[in-house]
Amino acid sequence: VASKPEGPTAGRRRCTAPFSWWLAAALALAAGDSIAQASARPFSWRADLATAGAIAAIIGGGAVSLWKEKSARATAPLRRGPPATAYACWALVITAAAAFELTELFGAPRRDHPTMSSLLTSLSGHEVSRATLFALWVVAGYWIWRR
Amino acid sequence: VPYYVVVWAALAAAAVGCEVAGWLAHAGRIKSRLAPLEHVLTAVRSKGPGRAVLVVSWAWLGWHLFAR
Repeated sequence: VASKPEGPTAGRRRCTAPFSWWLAAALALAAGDSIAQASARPFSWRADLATAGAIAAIIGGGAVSLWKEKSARATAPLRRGPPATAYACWALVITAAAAFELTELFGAPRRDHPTMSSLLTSLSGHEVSRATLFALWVVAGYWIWRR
Repeated sequence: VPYYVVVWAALAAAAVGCEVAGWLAHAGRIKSRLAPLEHVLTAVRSKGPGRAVLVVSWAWLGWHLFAR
């Protein structure tokens, strides 16, 4: 027969999600990196370093997460995916955007052929917007690895 | 109006159209074989090669937008 819990926490719901120092550190690093990236001059080594650091951290963290997932044999059951038409529709939109971006990238002068990155560079005066965009990109990278 | 504004606006409109149709289909409000982008990407990342393609695309996009 299970006995009733006693003591000062009896009857209270225990928090099942413990505070994660890893997550707190990752969030702090991501925020710091976003600010560093936003305050760096475009096409400078500081901008390169901040971006490369985020790429390395996300890919490294993802690889560790994947390794843990495999070692734990925690394979989620596969659900029925979206219909093929949905894949085709999104593939068409994304391919068209990438093709146009690449066409513009190889066009000159840049003023007549602006790319997404050059349009973004025009936001370089707005550090908050750049930091927010960069943070959103980092979150997207995290989402790719999330289980 | 510059041509690139027209092209980006058309692409954005197509993406919004796909997304809205996908959510309406998901909610059962319309009959359509479309799906929201999140559902498609979730299905893609569930397979190893799909996840690799997403990671490479993500890294390239970030490098292109924020570094070079």
